Amino acid sequence: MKIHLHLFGILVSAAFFATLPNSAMAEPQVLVTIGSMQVTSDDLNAALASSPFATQSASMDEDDQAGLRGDMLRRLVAARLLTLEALRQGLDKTGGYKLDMENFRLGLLYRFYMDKLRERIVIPADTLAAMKQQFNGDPDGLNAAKAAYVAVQFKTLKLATLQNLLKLDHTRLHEDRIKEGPKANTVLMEGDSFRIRYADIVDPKEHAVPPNPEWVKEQLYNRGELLLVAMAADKEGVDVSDKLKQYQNERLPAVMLEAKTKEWIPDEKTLQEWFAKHPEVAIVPERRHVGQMVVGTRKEAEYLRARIIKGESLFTLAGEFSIDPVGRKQKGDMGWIVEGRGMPELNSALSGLEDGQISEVIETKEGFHLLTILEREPGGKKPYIEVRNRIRQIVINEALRPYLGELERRYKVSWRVIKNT
Amino acid sequence: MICAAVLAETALAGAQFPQSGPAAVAPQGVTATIPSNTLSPKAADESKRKPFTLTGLDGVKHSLSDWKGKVVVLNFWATWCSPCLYEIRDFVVYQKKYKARGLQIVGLGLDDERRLRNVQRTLEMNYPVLIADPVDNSGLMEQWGNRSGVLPYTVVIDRDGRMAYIHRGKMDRDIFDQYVLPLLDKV
Repeated sequence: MKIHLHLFGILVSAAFFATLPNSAMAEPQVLVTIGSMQVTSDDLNAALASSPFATQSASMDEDDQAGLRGDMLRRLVAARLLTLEALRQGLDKTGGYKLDMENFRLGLLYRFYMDKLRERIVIPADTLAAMKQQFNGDPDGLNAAKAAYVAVQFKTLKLATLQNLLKLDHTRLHEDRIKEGPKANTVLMEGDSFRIRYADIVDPKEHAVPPNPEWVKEQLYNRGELLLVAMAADKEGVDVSDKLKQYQNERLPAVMLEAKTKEWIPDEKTLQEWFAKHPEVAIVPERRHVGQMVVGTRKEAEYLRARIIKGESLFTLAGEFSIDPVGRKQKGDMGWIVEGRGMPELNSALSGLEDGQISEVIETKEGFHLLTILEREPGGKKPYIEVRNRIRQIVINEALRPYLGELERRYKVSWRVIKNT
Repeated sequence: MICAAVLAETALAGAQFPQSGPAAVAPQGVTATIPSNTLSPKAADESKRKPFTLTGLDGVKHSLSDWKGKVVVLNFWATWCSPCLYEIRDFVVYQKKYKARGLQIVGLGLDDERRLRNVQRTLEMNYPVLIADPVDNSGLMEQWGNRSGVLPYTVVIDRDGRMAYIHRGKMDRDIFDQYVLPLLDKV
């Protein structure tokens, strides 16, 4: 989601952002404090590295890089503001949020345990030697062979581990109860330290009709495996608190925004009313594939126009005579131009042209133009349903801006960005 | 996921982590599909440096003879290529660490000069970058054995000027250790 933010009273030096080195700074610098929270240079670098601009930013000019870093920093500050407000409102105490966090914690523990299990697999020296001989000089082939070997061993090891965990916890499975029409509290699997009820794996809100028993069985197995492995990791003292905290920092702003969005857009009518007031949002302008040549005098333009009408190609002549360097290089092909864009005189002339017709000579400050339209994509008006999501985003953005201003006044935002002189 | 057979298991001995796998050879079905990444001995014998002269970001015209006697890692890359940028970060480390032993990484940037210069600045590249605009150098990669045009693409040239190794895709540390480091020891 693109958040446009206005945090006032900020003088951020573009040079500072642009000159932060690629390599991690020795000590992370606190860039902004927001109430009890902060954004450091490490936070900013990590956010940039995981953003869609990660690759693109390296080749940007310094000013653009500075702009990107500044924009990203504002987003991080906005996220912290939303987090603080979510905590103030106790959104982290709701059942849904707690369940979300617990499921994420279980997932982290599961992944950690499985990764450790995989790391225990060692390719025996003689097997490795045979592989190296077979794939001599072919590192990709060797890697594929190693991966295939580890995958087979991991499957066996995982199965053995699960069997052991099931046995140690005296796990019992009540598959027969799935077909008997289970109730929300019907226990489908249980062990010494866990119990899975029907409601744990089937949310009645998502299933008006009882789901297929086979699907339920699969969910049950998945849940059982997740719980057993996560419990085993827990017993071994695996600490996932850092990653959980990181997830909380990402999740709480989203939860806060979801809550506010329900307030700003309580129903579909809100969006429909906004659409009624702003019908232009659905208008799609015509797109035209335009050919053009520009020359220095009207006389020359009239002469060339006559040659084109007699059968010569505007594009061939543009490549030879156009005084516009780009146009000459592209032999008059100006690509697809959206109706309403560009010089008004040219736009006006294009509006009256049929496909393939050569325009009259048009005078602008650039010279004397001849235009033609090769093909066009007609414009029109999109139905509400096609612009609904866009409208929703606009409404959120419009409400978010003043809301963040309000939060800034509630929580002290202190910018510690030092101007690089 | 847990299969029903596992859950139905009633009498299992405590599972043990296997100490080693069965005495297996490399799995079947791998060799036929993966092309060789290195030069065959014959090709290596016949492969000499392909001559080129390109302007570097330092404004000077360079050819491979500038680095005669060194182990040259000729890395073809572009600014839009994400793995290339990750690889460059590694190359910066290698160049710093192994420069004294005769390593010379040379980047061939298949892009316009402004973008290349920006990446050089951002990633603090400590080795030469030659400008190989793709419009003007369309055949360059093919001449160096990269017909498919995959990036990143790296050619390792030994101290005698022979192509010793070709790598398609990002060069990981173990590959560098296996194919480049030994060449540094050969004086």
